Amino acid sequence: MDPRDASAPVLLASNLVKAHGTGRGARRILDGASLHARAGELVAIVGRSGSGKSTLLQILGGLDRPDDGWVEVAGERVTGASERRLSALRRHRIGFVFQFFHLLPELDGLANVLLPATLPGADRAAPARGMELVERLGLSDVAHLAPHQLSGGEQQRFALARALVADPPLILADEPIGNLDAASGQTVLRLLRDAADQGRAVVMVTHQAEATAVADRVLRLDDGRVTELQPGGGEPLETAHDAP
Amino acid sequence: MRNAWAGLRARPGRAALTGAGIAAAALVLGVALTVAVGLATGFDRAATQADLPSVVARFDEEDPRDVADRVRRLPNLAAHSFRYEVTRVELRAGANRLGEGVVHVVGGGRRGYAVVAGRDVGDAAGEVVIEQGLAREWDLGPGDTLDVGEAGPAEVVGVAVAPDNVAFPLARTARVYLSEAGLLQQFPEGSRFPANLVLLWAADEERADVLLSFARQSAYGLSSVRFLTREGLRSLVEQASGIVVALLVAFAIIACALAGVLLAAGAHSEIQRRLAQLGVQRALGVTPGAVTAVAAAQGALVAAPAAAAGLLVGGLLAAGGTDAVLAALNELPPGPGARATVLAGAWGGVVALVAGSAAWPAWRAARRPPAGLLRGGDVSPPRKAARGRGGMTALGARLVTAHRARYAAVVAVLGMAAAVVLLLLALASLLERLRDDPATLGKRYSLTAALPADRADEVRALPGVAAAAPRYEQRATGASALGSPLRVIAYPGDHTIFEAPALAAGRRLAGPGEAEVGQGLADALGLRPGSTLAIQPGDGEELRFRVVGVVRALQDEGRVAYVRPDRLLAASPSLEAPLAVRLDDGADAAAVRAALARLGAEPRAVGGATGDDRGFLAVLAGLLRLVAVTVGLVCLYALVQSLALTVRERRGAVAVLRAAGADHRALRRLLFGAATAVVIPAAVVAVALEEVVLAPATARLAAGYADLPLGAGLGQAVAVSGALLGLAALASWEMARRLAREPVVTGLRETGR
Ligand SMILES: Nc1ncnc2c1ncn2[C@@H]1O[C@H](COP(=O)(O)OP(=O)(O)OP(=O)(O)O)[C@@H](O)[C@H]1O
Ligand SMILES: [Mg+2]
Repeated sequence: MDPRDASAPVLLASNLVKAHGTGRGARRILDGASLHARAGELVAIVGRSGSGKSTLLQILGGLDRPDDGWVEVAGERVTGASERRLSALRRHRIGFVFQFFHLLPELDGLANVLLPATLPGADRAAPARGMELVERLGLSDVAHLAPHQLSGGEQQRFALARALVADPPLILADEPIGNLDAASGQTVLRLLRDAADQGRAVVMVTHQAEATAVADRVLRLDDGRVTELQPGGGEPLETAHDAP
Repeated sequence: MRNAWAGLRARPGRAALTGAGIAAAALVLGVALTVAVGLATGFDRAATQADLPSVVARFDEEDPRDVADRVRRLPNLAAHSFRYEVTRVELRAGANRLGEGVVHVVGGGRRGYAVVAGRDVGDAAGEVVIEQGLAREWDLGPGDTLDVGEAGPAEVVGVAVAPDNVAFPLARTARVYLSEAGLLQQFPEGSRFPANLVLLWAADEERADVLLSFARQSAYGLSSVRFLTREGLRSLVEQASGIVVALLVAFAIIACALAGVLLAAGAHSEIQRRLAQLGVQRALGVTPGAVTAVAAAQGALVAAPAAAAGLLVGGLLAAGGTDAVLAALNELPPGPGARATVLAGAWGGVVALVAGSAAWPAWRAARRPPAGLLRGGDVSPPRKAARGRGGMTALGARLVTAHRARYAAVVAVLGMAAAVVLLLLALASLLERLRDDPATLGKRYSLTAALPADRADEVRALPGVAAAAPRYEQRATGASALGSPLRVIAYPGDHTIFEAPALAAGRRLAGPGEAEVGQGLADALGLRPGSTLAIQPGDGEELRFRVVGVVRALQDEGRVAYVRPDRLLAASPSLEAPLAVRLDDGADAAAVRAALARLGAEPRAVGGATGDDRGFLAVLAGLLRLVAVTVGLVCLYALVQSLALTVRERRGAVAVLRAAGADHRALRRLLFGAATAVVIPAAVVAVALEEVVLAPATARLAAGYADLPLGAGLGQAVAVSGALLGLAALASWEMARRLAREPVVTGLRETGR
């Protein structure tokens, strides 16, 4: 199946359950959350702080394992996959963008972008793509500065380039503009929108109105479940799919 | 203080890791201090406790009344007492039997030995005090019975220690003490015992030399007078323990230095790691003073229990071995109080060192602008060249090298530790060679044959024999500083064919009136080329030689002199000399031995140096091994800790990589790159440090008078570097496996500042 096929969901998640803690202290953060994202679609997830948005995103990306339910990315099972398989999935199919950028302080901006390209098993075309991304994201002038010499917006653009360097069909972004000023935030949002318009599925956790404004769909995480809001706010239209 | 405590509670794992490091270093320190202090002060302690006389004079049997008047007139004399020494007395107890018993008949006055169990001999008949070595070896104690030659069975009433000789069985003789009064009761026919020993105590020990020189002057009329001073005794006893004890002490001192560096570096890197946290504190308005105080208090809080535990365990571990060595030397171990004092002092030192090493970088860091700290100020700006090319291994290397100060500290600590391991290996192989390889002592002949000098030609004619010549050897004492024992070695021709210790000054000897002296002897007697060496052979008159060269001889701690035999033979014509036989390179030693045997000679292989007593060497080797194992453990710990810390610190980076799709294979390469980036320079540092600093320093501390070949061999250097690399690979393998198993989110959360 072609992951860029607009009709096929790149991301499918069903009935995810996740609890933190054990025994009496255990709290169900996710309690039957389901969602999907198609190629070319920018999906925003909103919810109050502590509702489990980051937890959900990490499970979607295979960074954490759910207690129940399953996730599929580009037609491949994430849940229950071996660590080796998961690594390959993350290498080729998923790009992450974090709220705190997570650039390696020892490497300059460009080297951070090229990081996934140096992994064993990486796509051969990745380095060239990385250079091009740095150019396109307007980072050429600061490509050789250390992360601590960069502004927050620049750091996040490098992080975005890093997520795109393997040309994955799915981008997961956790509050990508949460730490940025309005102007930088707009730039990053536009780049995410571009990424989606080029045929990727982009899932973005946010609580900023600017972010929901550019989204094709807005999902709300509440009491461990996902409900769909109409673009620009309003009442939930329907609960998300329980099954594909 | 409360802040410090809270800070520790928040990171129990890290505090435990630091504590373990401190405990390990303290363990080495405890072992090293116990060994060094025990051995270095053993003689003085025993001498004080035994009330060892300043001078002992031996002479042929005399009536003490005849000698007493002369003795009393000596200046600077506090006290004296006579003894009658009888040698080759048969001692028996149960199944044990020894023909080499030495009986000292003691009269009144000061004793010169310490009673360490039971009581001294009294006036009653049938009582004996035995030396500690005998008591231990034969398992005797107060109440047991010992047969003392013709005196018959006597009750052991006490056990004594006197550091005027090494203990039985390291000394082949065993000494027992009988009281004159008791013997007179047993054998009433005699009225008095003669004397052949007088013990002299100086009133002012500093000026014992005055006493000695007057004693020499008033010794006329007595035959075969020999004097031994306290210093002479010390060197006699030290000679028996030899280079090994000296090395042990030297090694222990170096181990102490290592422990210090480990501690300081550990505390330092701990602060480096917390720079960002310091930045937050500073941004919140905490003063540099307060930041420093908290850092110091945290260091002290962790160090106090860890150091106490390490020192205590180290002290206990080393006490047994040290006591055994001391006992073999007839020296006394420090009391528990003295040991505790030393360890308590070390504890204070360790706590202060750790607190200081934590406070200093904290102070310096706290005075920098907080913004720099918050931004991870100790990361060096990335270089343009390597844009993440070279894959995971190179990336791993970059991750560790980016934090320059920290990287340098880790490399330094690992290098130090590995250098000590190298030194240890070198030391071990030196010990082995000392025991087995005559060449270590500068000896080039490997066989001796008991044949008269005029048959040397026959031996030379044997196939496989390169050279043969009689080797004269005589024990003597220095005539100018009496009691300084030395060994005179003489060959009729060029002695360097057979023994060629390196020349340190002057030239080789060329004639019968000239001498080359060992550095040890030169130091003891103040000799240098041009001065005169005056010696007194065991039973002859004084001989004089002109010193033309000083050599680095290892044998007898360098208390040797090489001469031509002419004057020795003139003084004692009956001096016997076995033939020293040097073999051709690659000659069949067994064939030569067989040929020598056919000539009627009894060929003997030449061994290495020092003490031929296996038991003592075993005790020393055991002690050395103990020190080695503890230092080895610390080295291992240092390596694993630095790797573990690197990984721990880079968990965030690892998590980011894993989010980008790095599998355990990639992580392995990354960690191996990081480990090798530390290990390779550490190995270089180690080899350099060992060769340039540690080996010469140890050799100098141990024996400035000899060339100790303590440099590590190429093989050893390769082995240690290889072991480091192997360990690095193993550690990265295991850590990669463990890292790949934990959820990626864990690492991401940790770095979310
Ligand atoms: N490892 C963990 N152990 C225990 N509880 C956890 C763990 N990780 C997250 N939680 C809890 O799960 C809940 C959801 O956390 P999560 O980070 O997913 O929230 P969020 O919706 O992203 O919040 P925010 O908008 O503030 O980022 C929180 O209450 C958090 O305390
Ligand atoms: Mg979150």
